[in-house]
Amino acid sequence: MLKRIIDALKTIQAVQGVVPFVCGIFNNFLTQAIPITPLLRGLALLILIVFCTYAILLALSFSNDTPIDPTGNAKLRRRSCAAFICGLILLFGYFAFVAYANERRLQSPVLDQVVDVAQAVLFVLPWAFWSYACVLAGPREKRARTVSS
Amino acid sequence: MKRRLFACIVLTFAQAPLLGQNCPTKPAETPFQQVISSLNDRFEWYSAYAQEPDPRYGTDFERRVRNLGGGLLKYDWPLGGLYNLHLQPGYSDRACISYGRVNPERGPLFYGRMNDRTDTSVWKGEGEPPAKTVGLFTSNFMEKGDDPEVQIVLESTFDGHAYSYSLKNTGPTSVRVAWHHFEVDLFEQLTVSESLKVEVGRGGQIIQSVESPPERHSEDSLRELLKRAKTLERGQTTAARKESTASAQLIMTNVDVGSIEGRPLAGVVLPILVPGQ
Repeated sequence: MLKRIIDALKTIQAVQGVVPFVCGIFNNFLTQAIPITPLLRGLALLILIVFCTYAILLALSFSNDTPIDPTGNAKLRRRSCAAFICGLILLFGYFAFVAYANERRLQSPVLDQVVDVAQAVLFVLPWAFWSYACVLAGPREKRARTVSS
Repeated sequence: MKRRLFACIVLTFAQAPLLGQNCPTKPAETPFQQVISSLNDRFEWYSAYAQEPDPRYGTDFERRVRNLGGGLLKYDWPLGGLYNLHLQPGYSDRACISYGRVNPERGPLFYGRMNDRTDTSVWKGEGEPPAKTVGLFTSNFMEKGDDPEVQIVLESTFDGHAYSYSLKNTGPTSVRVAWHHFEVDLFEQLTVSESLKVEVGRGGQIIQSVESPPERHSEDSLRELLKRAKTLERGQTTAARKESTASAQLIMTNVDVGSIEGRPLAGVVLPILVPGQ
């Protein structure tokens, strides 16, 4: 029974990647752990859906193409950690970027729009990286192809 | 011939002024107002109502947000029915509506890039429809330079029963104005036909992108367009009204302005409300 549950979990590896994705949506509309103006939430949601979907699919593809490593998929773990740290760095980058944009006191609506899009993308990138990291950190299906020791 | 785009757009989304739209000149009581100063923004919000209500349309309310800072202001005031992504320094967004009896409400105003908020009090009409169901756009565009100054105010409103449109030449000279949504001549559609036949499907795709132009005319086609365009004398207003209870949908329209001789002066893409599908 336990084995069947574990096997089932392995087949839904992508679910883990959906967790940060859903957190991003919650952050957008319910709470504001990472704040963003309500005027940019629609754009941010659109980018969030596209980026996180791409990140999850990319991670699944990479994960499935990587041979099973009997020692515990160290390569995937390293990549997962790197993606998680990248997400954190981008999160700090988001706050730094907004602070910088505020300091500049923009006068041009066109330039302001460019900054809006950049802000929305930076808002989304950490969630996308964390989705990627979660998928890689998850359980994997056993495959016939293995690394020879 | 250079065709300059607008120098300035003040775009206001506000609740519908029913037919007797008036901004109160003398508030009945001390108006609600506050100057907000934060690290990055400085602005004032204001809400007042007129002393003597119009027996036909109810009390006149005025709400506005003025940018007192040195940079563009982003704000969203759901209770006041106003928002702007890029309010220029020194400019105001203003909404004037007439609706029912006076009823004060409290709610937040969000501003800045990081969801800063301040609590506000707003004078509203009792039972006033929510901002999402009715709307007024007031868009001004002004062109200065060697060419004559152009000032056009386009208002599009929906009060739950009808859609109203008005285009007023507030500039110092008479101009020719072409107003299009893709290939549809809106002057013709809105003033001649009984029903509004604007194709909202294409416009509906760009609801979130209020500054995405639906089309661009070449210089030659623009000249031809302006030769056939409607002449708006100084101070003249052209208005149209269509009865419809269908929910409002936002579409983008081209307003091209030329001199009386047909020389292109300015052009802008402005949103209007039309009945949804």
